[in-house]
This record gives sequence, C-alpha cells and structure tokens, in this order.
Amino acid sequence: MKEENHADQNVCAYLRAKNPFGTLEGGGNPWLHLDTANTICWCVKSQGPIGPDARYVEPARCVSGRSCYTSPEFS
Amino acid sequence: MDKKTLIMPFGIPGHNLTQIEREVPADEPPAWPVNAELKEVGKSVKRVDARAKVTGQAKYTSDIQLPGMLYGKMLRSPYPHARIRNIDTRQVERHPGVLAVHILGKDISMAGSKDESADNYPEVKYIGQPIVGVAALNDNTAIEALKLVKIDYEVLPFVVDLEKARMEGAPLVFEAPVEKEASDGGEEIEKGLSLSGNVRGPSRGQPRGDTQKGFAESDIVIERTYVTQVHMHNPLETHGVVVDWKPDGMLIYASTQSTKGVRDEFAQLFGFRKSQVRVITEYMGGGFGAKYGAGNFGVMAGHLSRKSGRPVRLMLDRKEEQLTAGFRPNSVHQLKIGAKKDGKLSAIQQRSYGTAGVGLGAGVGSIAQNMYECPNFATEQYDIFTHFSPGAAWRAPGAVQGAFGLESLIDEIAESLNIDPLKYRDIIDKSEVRKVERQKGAELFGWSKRKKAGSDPGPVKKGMGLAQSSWPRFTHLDSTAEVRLFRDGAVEVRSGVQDLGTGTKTILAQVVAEELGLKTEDITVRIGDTLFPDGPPSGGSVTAGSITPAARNAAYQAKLKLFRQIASKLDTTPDKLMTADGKIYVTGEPSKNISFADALKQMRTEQLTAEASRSDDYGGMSRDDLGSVQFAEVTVDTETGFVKVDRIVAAHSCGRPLNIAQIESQINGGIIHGISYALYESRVIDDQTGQMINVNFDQYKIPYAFEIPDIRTIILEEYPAKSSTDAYGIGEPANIATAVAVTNAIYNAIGVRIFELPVTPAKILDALKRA
Repeated sequence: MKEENHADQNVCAYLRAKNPFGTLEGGGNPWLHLDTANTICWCVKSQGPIGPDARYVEPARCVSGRSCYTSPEFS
Repeated sequence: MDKKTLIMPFGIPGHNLTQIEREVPADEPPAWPVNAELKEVGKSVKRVDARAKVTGQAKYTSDIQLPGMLYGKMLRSPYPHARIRNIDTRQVERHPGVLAVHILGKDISMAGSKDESADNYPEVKYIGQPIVGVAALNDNTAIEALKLVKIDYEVLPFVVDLEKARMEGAPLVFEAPVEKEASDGGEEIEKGLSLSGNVRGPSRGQPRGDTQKGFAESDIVIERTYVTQVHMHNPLETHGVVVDWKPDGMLIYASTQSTKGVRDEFAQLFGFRKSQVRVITEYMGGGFGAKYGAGNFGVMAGHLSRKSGRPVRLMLDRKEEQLTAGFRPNSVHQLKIGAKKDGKLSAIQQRSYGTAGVGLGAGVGSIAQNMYECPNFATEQYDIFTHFSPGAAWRAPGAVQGAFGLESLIDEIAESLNIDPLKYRDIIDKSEVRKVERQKGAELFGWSKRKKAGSDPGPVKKGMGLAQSSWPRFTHLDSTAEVRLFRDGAVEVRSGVQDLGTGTKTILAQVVAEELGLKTEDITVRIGDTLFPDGPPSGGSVTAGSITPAARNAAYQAKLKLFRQIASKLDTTPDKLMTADGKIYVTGEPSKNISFADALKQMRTEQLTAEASRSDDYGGMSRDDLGSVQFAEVTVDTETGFVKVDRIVAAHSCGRPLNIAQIESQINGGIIHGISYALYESRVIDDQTGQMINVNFDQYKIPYAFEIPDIRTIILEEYPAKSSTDAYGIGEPANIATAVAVTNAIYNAIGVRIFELPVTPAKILDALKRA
C-alpha cells in the first residue's frame, strides 16, 4: 500500500505520521513512502488529526497554501 | 564508505541453510554463526529487569513523584459536535487548591496559547475532546475544581455510526473539502485523496494486472463481505506524563513508544532546542501502537507546569484512556477472489471502508496485495469520518482486518476446489519461511486429524483451522547505541530506545555480552532517556532489528579500542586478540590471556566509550517478509453458541531469534489479543448521544485467564544476512493470523461461516439457524 512519495514535497513542519511499519515520518525527517489508507497522521500544533484550521491532517494537504502551514525551514 | 566482505549464514537451518557473501561497512563486526554456536544470543535468558518488575522496584511514569508536583486533570467535551461560545474559568482560578488553569486553543503550542479568546476556541468534534486543564495539589482537588469551569456550547448535529456517516446529508465532520479552496495568496492547495461528504478515498495501493480479465479467466470466483469491530488498546499503563518546565528546558517522564518523538514535539511546541528537552521512559506498561507523540494531555501538562512553575503529573484514567486515546478502526471489507482449477489465484479485488473517528488510517492493509502470488490485484480503501475520537495504530495496523477477510476467503476457495487448506497454501504461497512453518506447525498441531467441516457429531463440536500472516522487514536507521567500559569493571549499553515491556533491555544486554565474551548479567542497560543517543521508535516491529545491530556494532568498536590498549600487555598486537568466557585471549595461544575485568582495570582512562548506528541493510533493502502460520482448535457448543479456544500452535519467524522466552512471551500476547478480537472485544456507542457505553473493564469484555488456551510456539531460525545481528521483531506478526485461524476453526466445527467479528454466541446461533 505504499503509493505516494512525499519526499519531494514541502510538508508542514508540524505534521507527523505513523505508518503501519512504525516509521515516524515528517518534521525534520525526510518524508518516505506512505500508505495512505493505513497511516495515522497528526498535527503537532493541535496534537491530533484535526489541524488548527479545523480541517483534517494528511501529507497531501499539509502543504504550502494551507492557512496553518509552517515551512520546515522556519520551524 | 570503506567496505569489506563477510561470509554470513543464509537461510533456514535444517531446510536450506547456506552461506552468502555480503559487502558491509568496514567498521562492522564479523558475521556471527548460527545460534547453536553462540552463548548468550538465541537462548532463553531471564529478563534483566525481572526482579525490579516483580518487586515493584521498577518505576513507571505513573509512579514518578517529584518535589512540589501538582496533579493535572482535563475537562472534556460531553458533546460529539459543538461550537464553544464561551469558557468561564474565573471561579476555578480562585480555588485555593488550584495553581494553574489552561485552555487549549486551536493551536496548542506556546505561541498559540497566548490567545485564549473565543476566536481561538477549537470546534468540538468528539466526546472527550479536551478543553480546559487544571493543576491542583492532588487528584481529587483537580477533579472537583473542574466542576467550577463553565462552558457555553452551541450543540451541533453529529454522526458516529459508520453507515450513517456515509449517507448523503449526514452531518459533516469536516466541512468543505480543502482542495476546493485556494490559499489567501490564491495558490491552490494540492489535492489529496478526494473527500465527498464524510467519505475520503479511495486509496488504491499498488494495483497490478487486469482484475476483470483475471476474473474472466477464473474457474471459480467467490465474493464475500467481512466486518470487523472497533478494538481498544487496553494497555495496563494508561497514557500520561510528568512534566517539569523550567525557563531553560523541560524534563518529561512519558509513557511512550518514542522518547525522541516526544522530545522533538515538546521542543517544537515550547520553543526549545531538542537538546533542552529530556524525555525519560525507564519502564513502560504497553502501548500497542497508540503511544506516539506528546499528546494533548502532555502539552496540557507542559502548559500547566509552565504556568505554575511546578512539575505536573497528568495520567489519563481508564475512562479517558478508552474514550480518547485511540483504537483499531472497524472495517467493512468486500473481497473477491478468482482462482483456476489448479488453485492458482487469478485475481484479487478488494474494497473497504472503516472509521478512525476524526482521524485517518482505517484501511485493511496490504496483506491481500502481498501475501500470495496473483497477477491481477486492485484495491479501493476508504476512510469514513465520524464524530468520535481519533483511532490510532494498533499492532499490525490494517493487516489484522485484512487478514480476517483474506484468510477466510482463501479457506473457502480451498474447500470449493476440494483441496486441504494447508496444502492449498503450498500451491499459492511462495514463502519458504511459511512453507517450513506449515510443515512444522501441522506436525505439532496434528493437522492430519482435522475432520470435514461440520462433521463432528453431537451438539458440542470440535474444529480446526489455520491462517497465515505476512509482515515486512522494516527497520529504523536513525538508531544509535553507545557502549561504555569502566575501569571498575562495569559495562554499560546506552540508548534512547524505550522498552515497552517486550524485553528490549534484555536483548541489548545479550547482544553486547555475546560480542564481548561476557554474560548477559554482566551488562548494565541504560535506555529510555533522550540524554543517550537516539534510539528507534518502537512500532511496526522495528525495535529489535534497528537497535540490536547498533548495540553490537558499538560493543565491537569498544572492544577494538580496549584491544589496542592492552595488546602490548599480552605481548601481541590488537588484531590477534579475541574475547570469550569473560577473558581476552591471544588467538591460537589460549594460555596468554587476561580476564576482561582485569583488562578494564588497565585502561588508560576511567571510561572508554564507543557509539555506533544501524547501517543500511546488507545486500540492500528487500521486499521479503516475516511470515507466520497459526493453527487453532476450538470447541463450539451449538446449543448455547459458546466458543472455547482449546489450543493454538503458532509458527513464527523473526530472523535470528535473540531471546526465545521473550519471543514466546510476545507471541503469547499477540495470540491473546487475537482471540480477544475474534470472540470478545467490541466498542459500543450509543448512536443517539454519541457516547461510548462500555468505557471501562467492567463493561468492555477482555479475556480472563481461564479463556486463554494452551499455546505452543515454533520459532523458526532464519538468517536473511541483513545486519550484524540479523534479528527482527515479532510484535506485529504474532497478532495478525490468530483471529482468522479461530474463525476458520469455528467453521470447521459447525460447517457454517461467520463473516463478522466478534463471534459472539448470538452470532453462532443466528448462523446455525440460517444454515
């Protein structure tokens, strides 16, 4: 179920995810392949899967342009 | 990086063991032989912390007491969906026993907490969502004080039922899909999987071939729908922390599966460097996937500590744990499989949906995609949002739900083709590991005595079933250990890695002892502290495979440093020295030796230290998996519907087994979880109020000791030649196949299949009535 590679994507500095294989991804770590159906995501700033903007958290949406987005460069 | 070549054992002893040449980093140790030739590794060594645990000496997070410590509690929403109009904390702030009050905003970081106005109140999306916290002189005062907080809610429509949430017009958990909006700057936000109402997806995995063509070419096609329930984690130790905030840093005791993950999040949230945050998890009472990150409770404790200037303890009580700290999502799994007359699979198609409440991750994993040879595969997996607290990773996320469908349907296809289910797996499964496990397991279990389904006479019937599992060999490369040698004779291994209760401390001691020619009890293990080098998070069965090679590598480097210091004292050169039986010998001249302890006394410095990290897999990453085969025998009373699991035989592989007793212990735990999932556990929600009804152990059924069957394990030694220890974890694999092995055995007993978990007596009776 590894289908999306976000390694080339500027994912929000506050996004975390735990995929079925236990890899803690995001933040300062490079984004690896994610299994989009089975990965648990959370925002560090809200400590849950609901972002500060009340929308849900996932790698494809926690990117530049979202109102609560923080670039990894500025975290 | 300099490389060297090693000749390593490769394969399964007694089956296909051979040797393989591997190019490895030049500073890694020589290859170990198979376990039979080792002294500490591969044996049933007693846990190094056994005495501390049984005497109560072991201190868990909930045992931590710091001077001046306060007790934190959180007020949680009683509504599944609401807007907060106002929060009045004036009365609680005047309470003499309360030293700090904090409101969680939309952004709960230190920067975000400066704005505690109504505009910053988050929308409530689930019952139990934390809103206000207090730190008081004791627990009871905190609980009483929270009653003084007044919150004005605007209650909104909600949906908690999976099927109702899918319907058009259902109350929305998340409003407009994000992809329809643009940023303030006009930049369109990148699309993720689509969201329609509360339905997100599908996730399509890695499809292959053409399933329609595959079904058209099939001689047999069976399609079924499998339903699984929500499953709680039930760790003995609930989530919680003790946080001590100071202007120059934070000290956090946490019940966590990732000390470095908690450290990094606290550092980000409270504006510290990672080096200013210390997280300690010396002992931990289970997590099963749910204990990652700081947690809203952790951040609340941080704010309360910052405001009060005192350490704050905030441990969830059992009700909070069950209501808010995660669960395994439920699933509705439609599975269609086609096969040829010879049994070969021609197409697999699956479609699933489930809910992780307000979170994602309700898929059915990749086991249907990966375990069996099949040229045509397609999947569609959907998440359904509901107004309930978020799910969490749970021991083999997705795979347990997926295996229930896959291994039920494979069983059914085997029967339709008139092939024994065990022999059928020989036809469709390429794994050499599972092939050996099937042979050994069947022999120990007595599979040959299995009768035709439903043929056992009388109202109380026996049945036998089996199921298999697959789990990838994943490791976490940012895993480092340090080994320290002390002039006074002490040998320590240190890492930030935490021990969830699985025995990480003991396997680290074994590995270091083996490398240094010492006994396991000679090694002191200091882990679970971010002052030490970063260890891996413990999830996905990655711990053993990630940290033990690092520990062995560090021990090897420390040994070489010691050799360089004492070689001259034995009139030799460092390259001629070796360790064994507590001594350092000159190779080929055993009379020239010195005890390890005496060698340490002659060190030039008081301490000698070496640090090493997990290197890339030798031979490169591969997609081979950790396999298991489990056999179950059950007794079913067809008059009452009562099911008793009589015995389980579990055959497993985890690379080089490091500690047999601990692996057996983990397998036992996985099987108990699996039986409980198959027969007992199920979260119940009142659809009208959104409340979870069975939030405590007096209402939420888990097995008692007398419901645990006889469990026999077969631990297959298997050498993939991938690292300096060649070890892998067993947490996930132990849990995947059990439930479906049990349900396949139930079918064999009564001749009627059950498609929904848990298999309660009512479902048995209903199925028999319909048969």
